[in-house]
Amino acid sequence: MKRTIVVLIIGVLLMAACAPQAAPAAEEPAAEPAAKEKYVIGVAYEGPTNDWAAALMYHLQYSFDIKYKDQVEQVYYESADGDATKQVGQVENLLTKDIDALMLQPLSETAMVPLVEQAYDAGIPVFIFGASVLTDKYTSYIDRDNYGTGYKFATYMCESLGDEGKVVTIMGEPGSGYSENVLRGVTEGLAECPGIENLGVDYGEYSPALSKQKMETFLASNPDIGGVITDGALMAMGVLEAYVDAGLDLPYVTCDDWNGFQNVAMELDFDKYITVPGGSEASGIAADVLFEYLAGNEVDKEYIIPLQVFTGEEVQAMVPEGMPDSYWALNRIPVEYVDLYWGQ
Amino acid sequence: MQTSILEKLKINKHTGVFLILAIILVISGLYSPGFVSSSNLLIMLRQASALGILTIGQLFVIVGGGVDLSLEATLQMAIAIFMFGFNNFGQAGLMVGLGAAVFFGLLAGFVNGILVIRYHVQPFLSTLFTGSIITGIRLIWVGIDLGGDVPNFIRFFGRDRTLTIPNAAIIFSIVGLIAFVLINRSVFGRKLVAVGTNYDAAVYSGIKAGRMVILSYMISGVSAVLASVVLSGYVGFADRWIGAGMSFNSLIAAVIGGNYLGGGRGSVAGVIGGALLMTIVINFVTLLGFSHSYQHIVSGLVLILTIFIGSYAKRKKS
Repeated sequence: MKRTIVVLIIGVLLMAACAPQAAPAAEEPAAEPAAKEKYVIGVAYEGPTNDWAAALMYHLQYSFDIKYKDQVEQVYYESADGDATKQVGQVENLLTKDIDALMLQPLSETAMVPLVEQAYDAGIPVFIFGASVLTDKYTSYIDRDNYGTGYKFATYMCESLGDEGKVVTIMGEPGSGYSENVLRGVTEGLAECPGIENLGVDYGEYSPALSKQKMETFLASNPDIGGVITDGALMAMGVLEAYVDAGLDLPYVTCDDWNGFQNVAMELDFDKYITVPGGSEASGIAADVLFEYLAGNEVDKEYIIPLQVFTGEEVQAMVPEGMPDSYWALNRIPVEYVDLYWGQ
Repeated sequence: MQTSILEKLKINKHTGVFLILAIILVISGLYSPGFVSSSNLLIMLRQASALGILTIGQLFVIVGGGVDLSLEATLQMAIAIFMFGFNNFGQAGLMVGLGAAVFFGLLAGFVNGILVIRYHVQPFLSTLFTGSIITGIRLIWVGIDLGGDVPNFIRFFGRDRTLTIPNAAIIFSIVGLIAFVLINRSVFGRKLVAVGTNYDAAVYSGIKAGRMVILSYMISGVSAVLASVVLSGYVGFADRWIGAGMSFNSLIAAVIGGNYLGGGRGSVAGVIGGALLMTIVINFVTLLGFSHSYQHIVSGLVLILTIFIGSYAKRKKS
């Protein structure tokens, strides 16, 4: 019996050794678009873990369910609930489904590298959006202009304060690529305003509670802070709360277009702020790029969404009446479909 | 016999946390006098109140020999309940919602207690899983938003002041006082300590030990509801992040206050000190302008030092 098993194992090993070697992965694979009328798309994304991620999901749903409905045979959605480890398994799963293209909102810049490269080497066009992956083996990368956003935030403070005064910077998630890029823009922008003193850079982790606590600490030592750069309206809300509680004049603020903040700002009759789109629309633009590519057109390897800046007054005027806090004022979903996603 | 500095200062495992607090305040005051102004001290007391109330609830469970990791989920569900009432039925709905939230807190505690006592599920796991189930139900019910702008009635308890004292701090003090009396000066407290010290011995001595444990979880559930009011009133906006991480923070606050997770002992003063330290250490590292990485290191070192002083004082005493 033992001998039979040994012979079988040797046989299997010999067969494996004699089998033709898999061709090494080509440096530049032929990720040619498959000429079809309808496509099977795999989508791996964060999932609706917060209002921003929900808006990103709505842009995906609008693109595949409505805008490009006629070109879609099937979409496999994989929602990772914000868990990068879970996303690895989900992308592996998508790659077994004979998809024509992969859309990925990576939850880790590094963990996704092998899978993105595997897909690309296998000839599957890969479209990255919302965050980057540390490889160049993808078809197109679509994202917000994070550096430009930070730079604009800094120059707004400089202009608003007349190049004189104190500011504080409250970023989102420590260590995340996009937060660090926004911060790089802020730092370089403020460097051009020698009269502005940046008292500190801290992270509010998109929490109004933590942002309020940190702002209260800054204000305890410096009640004359005239401007607060935040990269998120949830954090800006915590900042305003700290000022209101302390009975201080509200500062100049920067943030994104989350509607909860616009509602609070309107209640406070506050418009000393600018907003830039939060970037959730990147998923919709990524879908546009994907279908451009599948139609045989050339697409940019890197598509950075041109920066749009709106004053508080402008963005408040853009919000349709009765929109909930979870709405994003600068989204790219046509007005007639807004109720479908954000309707009460 | 030589008396150590800790003994001279009457530092024991429960009061070591106050020594660290004092050191932090002195350093912060030297760095920036505004940090130790009475107004900022009251602000920090207000910031710590929700965690403090939650930790006091946790303390009851710890004294009874358990641990409650469902507090965060209960807190968030409580907010969802009363905000649902307010958003849909106005002020009357808010009142009904608050009542329903208290009922929910009691129910969550009851279920935890039953799982631990009747089905002998480890408290760590049973409360972790009930917390997970509560979160899942909330997500199905209200999604990712807990209710948005918090009404003024709730804000009164979390943000507003009576004279100059934040109402949150007043509530925290009252809860602390009640907990002190219950744990140290009541029959209930003595029974709970007996149950936490030796469950079987408590049963043989005629104590309805199972009932005591269930009650401790129910008190903990109500503390989560109270903390939800204070926290949402302080922040002013109920979103998905509110209360995140507070179950573990309450455990940490209890432990750095010198409490023993094995049960049978509990210091309300230690819990108050622990909650204050957990809050003020964030302000301390923010004030000193450490980068985010160093904030983690300094916070960790401060907390380790606190535990070290507590255990050193205990060793010296024994």
